[in-house]
Amino acid sequence: MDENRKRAILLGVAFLLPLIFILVVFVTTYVPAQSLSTDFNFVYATCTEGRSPYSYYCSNHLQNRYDIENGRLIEKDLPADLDSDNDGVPDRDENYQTRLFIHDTALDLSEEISLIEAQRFNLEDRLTSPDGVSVEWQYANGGNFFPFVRYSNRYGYYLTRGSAKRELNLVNQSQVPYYQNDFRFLGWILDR
Amino acid sequence: MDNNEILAELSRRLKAGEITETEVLALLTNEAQVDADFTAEAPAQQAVVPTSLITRLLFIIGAVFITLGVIYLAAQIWDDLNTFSRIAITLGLGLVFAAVGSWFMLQDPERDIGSVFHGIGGFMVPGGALITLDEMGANFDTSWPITLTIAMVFVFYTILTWYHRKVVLSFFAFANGTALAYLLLDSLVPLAYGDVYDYLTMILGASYLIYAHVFKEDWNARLVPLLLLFGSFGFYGAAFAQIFDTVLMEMLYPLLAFGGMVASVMILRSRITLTISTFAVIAYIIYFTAEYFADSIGWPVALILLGFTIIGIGYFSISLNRKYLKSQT
Repeated sequence: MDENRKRAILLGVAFLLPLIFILVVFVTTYVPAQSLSTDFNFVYATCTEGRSPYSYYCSNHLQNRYDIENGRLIEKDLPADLDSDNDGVPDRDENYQTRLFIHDTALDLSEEISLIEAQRFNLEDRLTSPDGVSVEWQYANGGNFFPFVRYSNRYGYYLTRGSAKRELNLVNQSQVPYYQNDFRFLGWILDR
Repeated sequence: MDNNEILAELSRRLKAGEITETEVLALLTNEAQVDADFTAEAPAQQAVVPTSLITRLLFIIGAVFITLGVIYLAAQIWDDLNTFSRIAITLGLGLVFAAVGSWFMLQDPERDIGSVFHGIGGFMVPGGALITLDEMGANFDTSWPITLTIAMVFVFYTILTWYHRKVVLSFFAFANGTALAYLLLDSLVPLAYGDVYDYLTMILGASYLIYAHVFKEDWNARLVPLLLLFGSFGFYGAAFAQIFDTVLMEMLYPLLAFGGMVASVMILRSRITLTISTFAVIAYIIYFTAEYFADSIGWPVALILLGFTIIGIGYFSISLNRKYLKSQT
């Protein structure tokens, strides 16, 4: 083979190798994610203690505040002596602010709803929908690869089925570093 | 009268004092001046200006000083600058240095002064481009704006490399191209795990080694040691990071490491890759002993065996080096 042609082929291979790898990773990730869908919408709650960005005790608060009984959302009264963060201030007097949202999975769009509206839905509180899609908090640690570049970690809530996952565009997610405990999945809406 | 007779006559007259050394030197200096004047009018390729190592070193030290000075100055007055000034002092200045570098490369191609200016510009342009992006209020929810910016810088340096064919420009094309590969993966697959980046690093390392092999005998030859060093270090480093998690890599790694030693001798003919692949073999043996034998035979015995094995591999590597690569990089 002509030396120049051999050189051109080797240069082409060296240039294309990383590109082909990136494309393969992209296709094997993107295609399953695009085919991931569910026929069900879901309801979720968010919470803030008024201190951005992390509300460490919101998880407990959301857990104590909401529950699903017989497919209906109920808001529970907090016991007067409940003090989740042991700071001497009862949870009732803490500055917890909660909001309820319905998420349209087809449009990937959230809309705030009132407690009364949320209580009209028939909810299934399992994480996996009747058609096999789950809502999960996912965390990708990009910081331990070798040796040149360190990436920040990525995290957020995703629709998942097996290894396929699609990021959910939840309210507040793009405005503050989204903390796992600010969110509680309440249930899939079974009403059609 | 032939040359020997002329020199003998000159020697005789010098001894006799009929002609002084000063007169001979003056004659030689005049001849050299005439040659220089003649050469200045001739095409550039005849003007061979020797660039000593010290001159080159001074260029590099000067470039480092200028770069640090600009960064320090910019940091001092940063808060007082408006958007235009911030862009001008970073990206603008970087592009000016690049333009001056290109001008020198065209006007005075035999000297390294153009490379020095491009060296300074090369460090300022990518940072300046990202500062411009930030000042323009780009949305950083995804890494796409950074990826596209670095892609433009990469294209810029690739075109400059193609036009000038200078190593300093190749260096910046490689640096930005490598950053672009990682950024592109991050943008296309935001939730990619660290494993995927390990594999990308391995592939980039392999690409570097191919480039090094191709560039060995052309104008990019001065870049070859860097490509060999980073290529093999990236390849084996990333592969080693994977053997703890992946059984397949645990099985493949010794083949890659020994294969690297063979390829270093037979294909790349490089002492750098031979050294790093030797360390890769040693690292694997230490890992393998710790993982599978240390508990059964005990650490003291394992250490003794390891010591002998490492000495053996070192001896084998030095033998390969002496036999095949004595005069190689």
